Amino acid sequence: MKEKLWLFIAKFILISALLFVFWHLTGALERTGTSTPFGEPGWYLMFLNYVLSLLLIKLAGFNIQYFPAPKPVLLNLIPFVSLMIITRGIKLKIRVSRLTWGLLILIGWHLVMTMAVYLLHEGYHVPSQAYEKLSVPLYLFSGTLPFILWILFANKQVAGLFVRRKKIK
Amino acid sequence: MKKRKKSKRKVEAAKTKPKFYKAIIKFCLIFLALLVVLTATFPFLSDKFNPQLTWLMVVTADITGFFLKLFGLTARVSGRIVTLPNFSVEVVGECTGLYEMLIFLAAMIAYPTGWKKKLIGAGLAIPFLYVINIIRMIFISMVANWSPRTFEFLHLYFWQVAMILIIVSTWILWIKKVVHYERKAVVVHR
Repeated sequence: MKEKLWLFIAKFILISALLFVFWHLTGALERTGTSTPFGEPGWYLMFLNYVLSLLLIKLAGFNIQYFPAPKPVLLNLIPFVSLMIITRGIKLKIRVSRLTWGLLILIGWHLVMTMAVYLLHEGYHVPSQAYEKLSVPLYLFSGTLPFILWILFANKQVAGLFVRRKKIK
Repeated sequence: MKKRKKSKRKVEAAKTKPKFYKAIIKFCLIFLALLVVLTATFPFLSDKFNPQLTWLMVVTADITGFFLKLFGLTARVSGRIVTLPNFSVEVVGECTGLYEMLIFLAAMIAYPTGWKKKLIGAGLAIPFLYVINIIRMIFISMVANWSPRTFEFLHLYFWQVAMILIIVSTWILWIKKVVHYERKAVVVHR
């Protein structure tokens, strides 16, 4: 991390804000527009639903119409993409491949979480109070996942935080 | 001379590479393990320390209400509920900044440094994180009062990014200012 912290934070806020606008305007979680009813699932939710229905309905024989997605969990894509974009010193090819891997991991996590929420609610009929308690660790882990992935994928760039290099005369 | 310098640098880089790889992997594993332990025990701890947690929520509501009044808004606080002209909000566990503190503490404990620096970090970071959280609460309340429909959106979206931003920046700040801090020797030329 050769960069000044304030500049890093400023870039993080700016990129995250831009990604927010993109995420919201494209209607990722909820469809936007005056003609669409409030709360109608957006393209990302539809995508998760499609993959899960392929996996669970066609392969495992479940009979489900719609999977209720845990929305707060699905938002960790933005901080991860922001961190990977703003970190200096990663070659474009490596950046793109790591960004793709990270996104695949996060999407995989979203699928697991959506399935877990469905099973907790519909499969095991976990009472809402117990579900609330279970959801806290899962939400916390989801929130922290972009940070862990960033440290792993931008390891050379954050290495300075872990090992202080000696100056060679 | 330049070639020698370059080769020396290469040798040094080759020496430090496995060192930082190991350190990063170790950090991630300890961090994850701590996170699992902390978050798994959190529901039980929050039950056990329910009066203290409720007190923290009430204090957070009071402070948020105080600053909202200071900024010219007509805010009323009753227990954990802050009421504004167009909007009211209930302060819950998430609003106290406790989760950010837990994650930050896990990241700090997992970092390879002495306990003294970790204690200094905890002592400085916990109040800092609380202040940042109050700023977040004031901001969300003000925007939600101006446009109540934006609350859900802001609360949902803002929380995730704000959490990562706060944790990452506080963690880097701690490493740069506390862990890597070295006293500069003052040389007096006579």
